[in-house]
Amino acid sequence: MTAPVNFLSSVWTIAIYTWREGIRKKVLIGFLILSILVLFGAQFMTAFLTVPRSAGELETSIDVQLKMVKDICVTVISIFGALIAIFISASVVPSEIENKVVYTVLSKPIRRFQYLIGKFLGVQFIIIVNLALMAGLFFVALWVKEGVLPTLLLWSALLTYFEFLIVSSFTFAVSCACTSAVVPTILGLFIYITGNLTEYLKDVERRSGQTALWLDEWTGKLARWLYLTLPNLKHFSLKTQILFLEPNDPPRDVQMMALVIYALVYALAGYIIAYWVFRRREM
Amino acid sequence: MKRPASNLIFSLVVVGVLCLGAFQGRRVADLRESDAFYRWILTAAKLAPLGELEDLTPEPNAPDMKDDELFEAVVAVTENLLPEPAATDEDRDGEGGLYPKLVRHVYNDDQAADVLIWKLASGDSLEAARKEFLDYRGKGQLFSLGTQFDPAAMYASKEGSPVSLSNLFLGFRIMAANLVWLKVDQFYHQGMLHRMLPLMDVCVRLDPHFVDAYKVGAWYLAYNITAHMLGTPEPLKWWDEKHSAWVGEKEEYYYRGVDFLLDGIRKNPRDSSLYFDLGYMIYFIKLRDYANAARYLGNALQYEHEIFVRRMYNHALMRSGQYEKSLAGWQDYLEKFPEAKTADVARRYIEINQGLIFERDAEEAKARALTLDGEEGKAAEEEAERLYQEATRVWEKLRDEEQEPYAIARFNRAKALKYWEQKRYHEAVAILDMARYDSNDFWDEASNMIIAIKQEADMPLTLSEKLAVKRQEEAEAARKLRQQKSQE
Repeated sequence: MTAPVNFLSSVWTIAIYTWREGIRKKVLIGFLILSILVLFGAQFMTAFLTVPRSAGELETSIDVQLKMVKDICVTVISIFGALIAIFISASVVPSEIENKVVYTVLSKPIRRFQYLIGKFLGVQFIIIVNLALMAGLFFVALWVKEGVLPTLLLWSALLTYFEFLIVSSFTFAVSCACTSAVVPTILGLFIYITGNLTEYLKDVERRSGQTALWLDEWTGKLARWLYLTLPNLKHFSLKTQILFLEPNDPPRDVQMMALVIYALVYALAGYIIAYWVFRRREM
Repeated sequence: MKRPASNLIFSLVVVGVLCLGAFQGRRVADLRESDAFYRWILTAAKLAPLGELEDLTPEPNAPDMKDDELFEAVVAVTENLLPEPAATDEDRDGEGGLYPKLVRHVYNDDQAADVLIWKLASGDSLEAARKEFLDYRGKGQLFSLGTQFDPAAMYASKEGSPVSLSNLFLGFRIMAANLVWLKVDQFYHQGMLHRMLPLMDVCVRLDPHFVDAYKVGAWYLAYNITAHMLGTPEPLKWWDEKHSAWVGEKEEYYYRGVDFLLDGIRKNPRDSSLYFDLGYMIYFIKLRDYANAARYLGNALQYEHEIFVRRMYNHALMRSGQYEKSLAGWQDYLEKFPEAKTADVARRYIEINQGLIFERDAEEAKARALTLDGEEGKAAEEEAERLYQEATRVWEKLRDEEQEPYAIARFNRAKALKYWEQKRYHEAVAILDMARYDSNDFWDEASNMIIAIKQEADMPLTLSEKLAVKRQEEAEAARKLRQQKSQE
């Protein structure tokens, strides 16, 4: 009984330590304050919008305001949330290698496997807390504007988290091979952008074979395999659709569950790569 | 030796997990495709009875549209699988044919049936149609396809490439639509209406769910832009094939507004406000096409709507001569909102519709009396007289108790008709001339009656009446000439 408890206790300690260390990072706090300011500013940005209702008469459109607040908030949460997820995932391991803290930790009876799980969980805590803060503000803003509890926002925030989970797991994997946070941060941004452009590979596949050259054909085949295996973050656009849900839209529970499983599978892949890379490191 | 072996194991595990991800990704993609197909089915079922499922004016070199064909294939399958929907007044088309079950379910806004339609759309029974849908969507062959299904398709190249402007925004194109909208608002305050229109078009292309952009855009087209335009004289109007109407410069803008809103309806088929704006703001107010106004306002009632939509629908029904429906609508309104401030309006319009029904039936009985001889003719004559009296009683009641202007106008109309019948032309004209000032709604009818009476009595027409007659004659001559030319 003590072995699993010890295992979990070590993981938990590292996770909490990572979380405490992470929330003190000035860049992270900067991102968070900036996002909260923009979320707050969205309320003012739309306050003066007017639409004509009849000749010579102007009326502030609540619908337009609400729509714009929703759109701005979803976008801000996506941008700043992704930046926070990428930055924190890219920096936790390299910063400990740089500070040589990792040597002290690994000299204890802790396996690399445990260390990485703790670090990974700590990163997820930070992402979840930041996302909860931003979504919480958005939730209150919508509640004040609509007068009803915007429960759909919770589902949207959940999907946003799982999108970040994929990005953060692969960024984390890259960071395990680096000694500085710069390269993983850049690659993390690259992962986020390419994850949104995975559909492009489908287009490459469709266009290939036009010249009848073997290279052209193989490019198409490679594009097809990459399209099938790389994570497609476009699937998570459901998070925006949910906010504008109509009463007769198809049931979302099936799609959401499928997306959650999708994200978990890729997060697992990211973690396995991270461990694979980290265990090979000479330390 | 240990390391290469473990590397191999890790490689296999990573590949295995990625394959699992690919499998799950395929499942997610399938669900998203079924979602798009389901939405298209609902849109098509909504648009089919409105006659909006085919592109009447295709662009040159546009691909062959397959909306009708695909919808027929879907209907053929669903007709056997869907239960019989509850019967309503809207079950039949103009020729008396019963709409397919799918159309009736969607029109009734039957949410239990929606679940069933979703199961069919994502299941095996409609698999072939779903594949065709995806194929046509890729080739841009679905006219009714709202861009909400795949915004990328809108900006795609002719080959249907998914790489597009929307991807440049990395999924934030909706945000871009909002920024464009802020610019639209700025132009509005600067009075630059013509600069707003292309931007509003951009707005709805970037975000097809931007319902307010559709509504405000149509408003500018139908109202603000046409505010200072002069009406086109009837002989100079041209025939608009697409809208089956004679149009001038103003009307052209009205119909542009109609098209803009219809585009919005295709992309947001369950938004009541778009149907309302189309039915009331344009067809009712601007085009005075009350039959179409009633049609679209009736659709607006199917979804969550404001209380005034119901009132405008009843008004449109009355104006288009569907008095029984209008009467039933007002009774229903009164039953549902007995405490509303407008309950008095409902009571008044129940009476007015009752009066109009009596009037219409009296005129029909009178027309029948002219074709019948003997006892039957006399009975019809008596029936007409009784109905006229009933109508007059309604108008008198409304005049005395409510001082209702329209009732006063109708009461005077009845009197004028009597005088006309007795060939007391001057008195008939005098009464109508006075009555048309009582109610705006009676103006056109009274003016036409005055001209008809004067022509019958060989009385001199006023200058404006002469002009009206001349315009009418010119318009008819011009239309005949155009029809002859088009036939040639």
